[in-house]
Amino acid sequence: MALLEVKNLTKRFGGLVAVNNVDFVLEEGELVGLIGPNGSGKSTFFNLITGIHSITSGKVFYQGKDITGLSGYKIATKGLARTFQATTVFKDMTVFENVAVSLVLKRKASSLGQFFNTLASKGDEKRIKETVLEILDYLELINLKDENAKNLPHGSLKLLGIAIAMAVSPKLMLLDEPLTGMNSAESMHVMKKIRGLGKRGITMIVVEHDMGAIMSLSDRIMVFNFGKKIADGKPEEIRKNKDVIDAYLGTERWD
Amino acid sequence: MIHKFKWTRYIGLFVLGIIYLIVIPLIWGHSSFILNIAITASIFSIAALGVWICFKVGLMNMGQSIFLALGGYCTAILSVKLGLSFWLCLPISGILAAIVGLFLGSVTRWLKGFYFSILTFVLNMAMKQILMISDFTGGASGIRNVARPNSVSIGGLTIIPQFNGDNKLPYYFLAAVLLIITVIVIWRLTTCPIGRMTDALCQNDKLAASVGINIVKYRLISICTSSFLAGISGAFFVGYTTVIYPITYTTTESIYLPIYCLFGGVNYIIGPILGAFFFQAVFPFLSILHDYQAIIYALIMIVVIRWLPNGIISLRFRRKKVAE
Amino acid sequence: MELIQTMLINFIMLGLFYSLIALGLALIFGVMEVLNFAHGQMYVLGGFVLFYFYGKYHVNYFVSLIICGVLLAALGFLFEKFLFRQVIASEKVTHSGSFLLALGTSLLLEEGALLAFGEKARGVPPVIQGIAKIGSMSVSYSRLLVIVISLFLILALFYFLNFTKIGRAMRAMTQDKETASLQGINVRQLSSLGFCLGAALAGIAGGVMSPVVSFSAGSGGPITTKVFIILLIGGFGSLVGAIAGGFVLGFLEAVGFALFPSDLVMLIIYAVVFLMLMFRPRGLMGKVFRE
Repeated sequence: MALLEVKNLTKRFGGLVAVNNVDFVLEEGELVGLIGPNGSGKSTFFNLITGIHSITSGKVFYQGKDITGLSGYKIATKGLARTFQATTVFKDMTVFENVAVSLVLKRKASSLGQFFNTLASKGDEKRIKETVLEILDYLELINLKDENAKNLPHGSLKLLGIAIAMAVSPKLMLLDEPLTGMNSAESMHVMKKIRGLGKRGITMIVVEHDMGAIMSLSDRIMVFNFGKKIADGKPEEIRKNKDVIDAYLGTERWD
Repeated sequence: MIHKFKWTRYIGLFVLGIIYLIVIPLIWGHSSFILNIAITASIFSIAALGVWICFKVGLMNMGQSIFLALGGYCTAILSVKLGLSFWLCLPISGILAAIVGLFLGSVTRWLKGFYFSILTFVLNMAMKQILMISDFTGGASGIRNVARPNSVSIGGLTIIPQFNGDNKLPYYFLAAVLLIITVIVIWRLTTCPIGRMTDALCQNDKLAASVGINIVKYRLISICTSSFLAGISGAFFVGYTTVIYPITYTTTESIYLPIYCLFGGVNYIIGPILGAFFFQAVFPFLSILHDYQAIIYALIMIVVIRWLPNGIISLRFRRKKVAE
Repeated sequence: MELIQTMLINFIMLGLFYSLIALGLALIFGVMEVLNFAHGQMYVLGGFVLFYFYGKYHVNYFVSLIICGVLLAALGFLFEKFLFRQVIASEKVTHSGSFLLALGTSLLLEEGALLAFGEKARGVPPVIQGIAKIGSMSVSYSRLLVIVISLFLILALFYFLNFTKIGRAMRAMTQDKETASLQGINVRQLSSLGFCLGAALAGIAGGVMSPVVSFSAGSGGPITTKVFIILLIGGFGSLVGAIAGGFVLGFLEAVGFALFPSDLVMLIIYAVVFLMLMFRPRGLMGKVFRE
């Protein structure tokens, strides 16, 4: 059974069709790259799957179950996480707090329990603290843990975004332009981490503009243009695909 | 804003509590005028804290008057028609208000926060209208002769004396105790995990939802708490003044309570309390100016929002920065 | 038969009139995302302008209306430039600051009006005396004038918004401010213009209605509430919705007040609003406001 299956997914904003009849199947363990010119609907595609935008028509199946139109927080409970295009983190909290608050799904105590600081709640806090340190350690952000998020440099903010997504203990992670705005050293670092996530068994869809990175990371690549999926296949096939080359002519560096 | 556990804060609050409970009554215990200000300020602080809690989840509650009226009328009716003791009416009023708040919150749960504000604002007038025409609530003449809080004794010992209209001191202490309990509860809410999640929700609701924070749940928790506090406040006031009318709580109170929060500083628990005390203290002095009273209020409001968006308390931080 | 005639005339008059005043608020909300709580008070101020210029100094009615529009536009300009602009710029996501500022301005105008003009109810003499006969219906010239002027202003507004460059830019802003500014539209200037226009419309509406219904310094609040109800029904963010809502309210009032006791009518209206919010929260034509 495919991990994620998208059928005839369409999103209309008034007269504009942002995502046009997209079909897509994702198997567990894959790392799929999603590329396309700016405005081709890649972020909207993510937003539709994660319940941020309402779906005009079509269906989304996750682990065989219909999750079409499910609201944001429920998506997380299913094990679906995402990062955002902008450096989206909780700016008024420290790095540690950012990840700690995102571990909400790990909590076993009820709200009442949290209020009265029961044993269950205390246990939650301990487990959460350990998990935060694990995640930060993996991403090598641990020495920044008490730094206020708004003081962080761009590269660390992006990593923090990934840390927040990891907090959901996802089976499927949607990464929206994780490498944008980074220098080559930072990019290499993040790519290594992303590969590491794959080795941990997390299936991923990665939107990126950095062709080199996508070619090297992905098992498979999907190409969007004007909201439509125009190609879907192995990196070598995509390189030679005429439609893809046309779509990109003059817009992106190809090699 | 994450509230860290600081001993200094607790000590500071403790000292304030002592001053309020002991020093002030000692000095001004005989002055009905001062006590009255303190009493109304305390209780409005509680109602303002309710509005503050809503701010913490990104909602502006423009209808706190609705719940104040609900609490007041609930106590009045239970007391006059069923003869229930004030001490029973108080929590019941709070719970009733909370239930109505829950309903209101559920109905607007899919909408952007600002719809909650508009709906609550419009409902202020609806509430007044309903109270005016309903015979059950006494119509335009309201309800009068509500029983004051009665004495409570265990064994032969009188723990709580009978409240009467001449001596304001028992009311003062009751109001103070209610305020202190409210502050402790609200404090705990903001420092426990619930509070951290509402902080996250406030800072970036899309991100919060994407990690599994159930925004609707926290909104409802806040709205219920807010209306509970207003219900208690309304109940207290009717036990204090023994009367309640449809015009007792109108749009005016609903507008001022958020102002108290903004005035004192919406980032701190003490903000709404500062605001409530400031305006309640200033109010009687402004009445000298009679006709100009309300317009000065409006001017204060505009000045505060325009030039002190972070409240009076932000002045303290501004001075610090200048010193450095 | 006469009852139906009365209801029909009232329905048309109220529908057009409410649409006019709701359009003003919808415009302000559309360009600035501010709920102008002071709208009702601006309406009242418009009435007072007419009371003095037309009523006391006997200036021509239509000239008085124009003066009214200009004065209220100036007020709107001052509010936007010195108060709203900075508050909106400094607040982040929640609109609580501008919301409360709008409340503050409404309190200011209301208390100011009470101070300046007192509590007495005012009215102005009818522009044209007498009753007109249209077919088998008889309607007072005053009401007819309200209908004609409201209709004219609404059509003029639509022409402006759809067929002039500035107007179209403003419409684009109400739909999507960010995209509009990316396309080179001067958002700041148009916000100011939008506020002025909305305020002017409120004031003129007050002036238009003054020969028909008396008003007082305290009438502002209920008017604002009514306009909110109109937009809740018709949908915020939609100018057509303002008209739709205006006519729905006009209908409810025209029919309701004729057939039921007045207290009950208001409750029915509130109930309708509540039900609408529960089952169709975006109103009849509003933008979708789901989380």
